[in-house]
Amino acid sequence: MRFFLTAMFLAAAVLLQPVVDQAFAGFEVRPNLQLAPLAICVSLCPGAPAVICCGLLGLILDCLAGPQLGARVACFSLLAALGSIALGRTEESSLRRIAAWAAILFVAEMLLRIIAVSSLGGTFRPATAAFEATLSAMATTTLLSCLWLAGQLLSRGPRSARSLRPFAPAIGRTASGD
Amino acid sequence: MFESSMRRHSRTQSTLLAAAAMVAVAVTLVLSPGRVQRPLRSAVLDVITPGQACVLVHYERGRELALTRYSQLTSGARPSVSTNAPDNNSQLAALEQACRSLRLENARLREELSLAERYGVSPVASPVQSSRDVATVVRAAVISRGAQSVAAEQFLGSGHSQGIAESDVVLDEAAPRLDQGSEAGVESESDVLIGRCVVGRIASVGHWTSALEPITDPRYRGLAQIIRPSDQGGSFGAVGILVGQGAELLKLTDVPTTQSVRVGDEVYTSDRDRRFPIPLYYGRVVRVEEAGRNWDISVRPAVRVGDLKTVAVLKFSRPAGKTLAE
Repeated sequence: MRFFLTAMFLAAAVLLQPVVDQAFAGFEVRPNLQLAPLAICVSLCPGAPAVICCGLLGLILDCLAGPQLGARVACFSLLAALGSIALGRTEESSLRRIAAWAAILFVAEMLLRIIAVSSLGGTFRPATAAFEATLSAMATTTLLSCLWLAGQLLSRGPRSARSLRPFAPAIGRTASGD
Repeated sequence: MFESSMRRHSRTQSTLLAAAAMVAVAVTLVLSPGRVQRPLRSAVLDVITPGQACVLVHYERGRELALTRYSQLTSGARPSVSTNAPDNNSQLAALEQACRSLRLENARLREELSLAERYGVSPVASPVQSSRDVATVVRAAVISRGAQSVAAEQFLGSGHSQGIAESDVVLDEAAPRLDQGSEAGVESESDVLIGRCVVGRIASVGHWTSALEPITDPRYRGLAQIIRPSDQGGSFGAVGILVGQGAELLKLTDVPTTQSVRVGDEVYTSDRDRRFPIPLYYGRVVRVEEAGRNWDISVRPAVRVGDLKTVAVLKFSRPAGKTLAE
């Protein structure tokens, strides 16, 4: 089930990236959906499966960006391996998981920028790259956290609706404009 | 406790083994020659890009539908809002387009008139339809704009040991891609248009996708003709070769300084270039300087690939019995 979910997320992220780009066209900060499978793979199926999935993602991104193949495959595989080992040692707390996602996405964003500059040419400005990578990683982490929260609520079923009951008066007041 | 530690240790080992295997694959890919990388990349793009295009089309349809519904709902609530206010920019563009079309027709008629004055009118009526190949178009969506170069100078991963010398031509593989390939009848070297403007030509064709070579690409060459706007309409001017520069502007070469060229002249495909059934628009002359015996002419293209969502790929179906010599 986990492998199926990971594969579905991987396919959805690659296919939906142009839609996200278009939807967030006017925004300075936008989530990088194509990197989201990195965090999902490491969380859902850590270990060798995550490494292979992330390598495949790297190959797809290499093919989409060009011109040289291989750089993203190596970087993403190593990142997934390190992420899997690091996450394996931590407990399953939500805060730690989100922090790990943010760290993985930030490193991936930085690696993407370094690869782009080394293959296309130009000057690498670490401060600017780090700032942009932080914003993008934060946006992607927020998106993933929202998806994860929605998944948790849905997977709990009727209990989730019951857990929202204490908020009902506040929601009612907001809706009526008080 | 010991069992859990052993399990963790074996998982770490398998993770590192998988990472080492993937890094080995990556190194092989980096070291592999272009003839290995190209089919692999083409196969992956053939799978990914049509899927992305399909998702994007469905998203845009859904968005348009939602916007229409929303505007219907809001116009029901607020009937006083006027929705057909004239858009000045679109009106100006439409007028410019009409003007260009009239100028072209005027130039053609003027040339016919001058020929008739010089040689007389033909006693036999000539057919309106020319004997050229029948042209059809394949509509295609621009599904990826390729990697944008971030610097004027770029570094290559190969050097002197691979036989690369100074001033060798560099071909960029990160060309924009279209969602139609050989399955839809797109062929290599087919011309790509939007309306009456030339966008470029097809560089390479895959099964479901193809790579576009825009007119700004350094490899692009096309026979072009200047049409000069005048008080009496337009008139045909010098013929030259339009060359892409890999930059925003194009260059019109081989126009001798004996010919008259002005900033603001329009550049079309030439009648002598039998690729196009009618003259199509390239762009406008923005700079003219004398360079020896020829003019150094810069042309601003009418279209930018980055702004386009769909294009038309022109293809000719040769009538039966027509020889190559014809």
